[in-house]
Amino acid sequence: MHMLDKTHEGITPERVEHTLNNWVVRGIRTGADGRQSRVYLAFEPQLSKMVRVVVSMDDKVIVTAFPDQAATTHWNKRNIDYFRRHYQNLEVRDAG
Amino acid sequence: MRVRYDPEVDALRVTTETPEAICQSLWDPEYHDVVVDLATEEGLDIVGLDVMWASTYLPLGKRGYDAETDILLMGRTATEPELIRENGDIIGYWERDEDEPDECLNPIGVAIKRASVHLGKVIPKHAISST
Repeated sequence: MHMLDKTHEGITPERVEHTLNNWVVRGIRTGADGRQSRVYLAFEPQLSKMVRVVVSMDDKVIVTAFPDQAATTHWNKRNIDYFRRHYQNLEVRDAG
Repeated sequence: MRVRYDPEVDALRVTTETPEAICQSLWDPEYHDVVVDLATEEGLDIVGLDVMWASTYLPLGKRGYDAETDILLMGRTATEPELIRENGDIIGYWERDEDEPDECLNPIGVAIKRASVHLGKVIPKHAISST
């Protein structure tokens, strides 16, 4: 695991692990220049937010992790199209 | 403003003294890898940012940089003055949500003023382009 030295508010190693183990949305993000990363999103009950964890494609390096306001709003509405717009190979669990 | 760059993951992290309450990606899918930190859940003040694939913008001059004004823009600017919010050297640009225009604003752009000063701390000076 590797992250920039200052993590985002509310993000702990335990919450990162929770997200990676209990994701409800997972996909691949293709960014600038075609570079890709894996994205895991899970609802963190104590934060009442969706936490987004971005990892390298080989799952070895955590790029960043943070509570994602837009993802929270759209997950609460079960607006899966929002996630489809941003991630490829989208997998969704427990969409209700 | 504190700026750090991690070359291993090609990520740029900009923080200020104001702690963030929440984070949000820029709205357009093209700029989804730019994440802004907001001081409050309802407010428009951007107090920090994460840029994944930072080498898209760096060294300055590759994309979004205006050498004349020394401003690095990621994303789009806003047209309505009330949807432009300056917080020190960080400018946030916002847009009303098409589906919920009265309730929801989405961040569409963020700019760093005095970019060569702030980002020069993490980028070798010879790498700063004047184009």
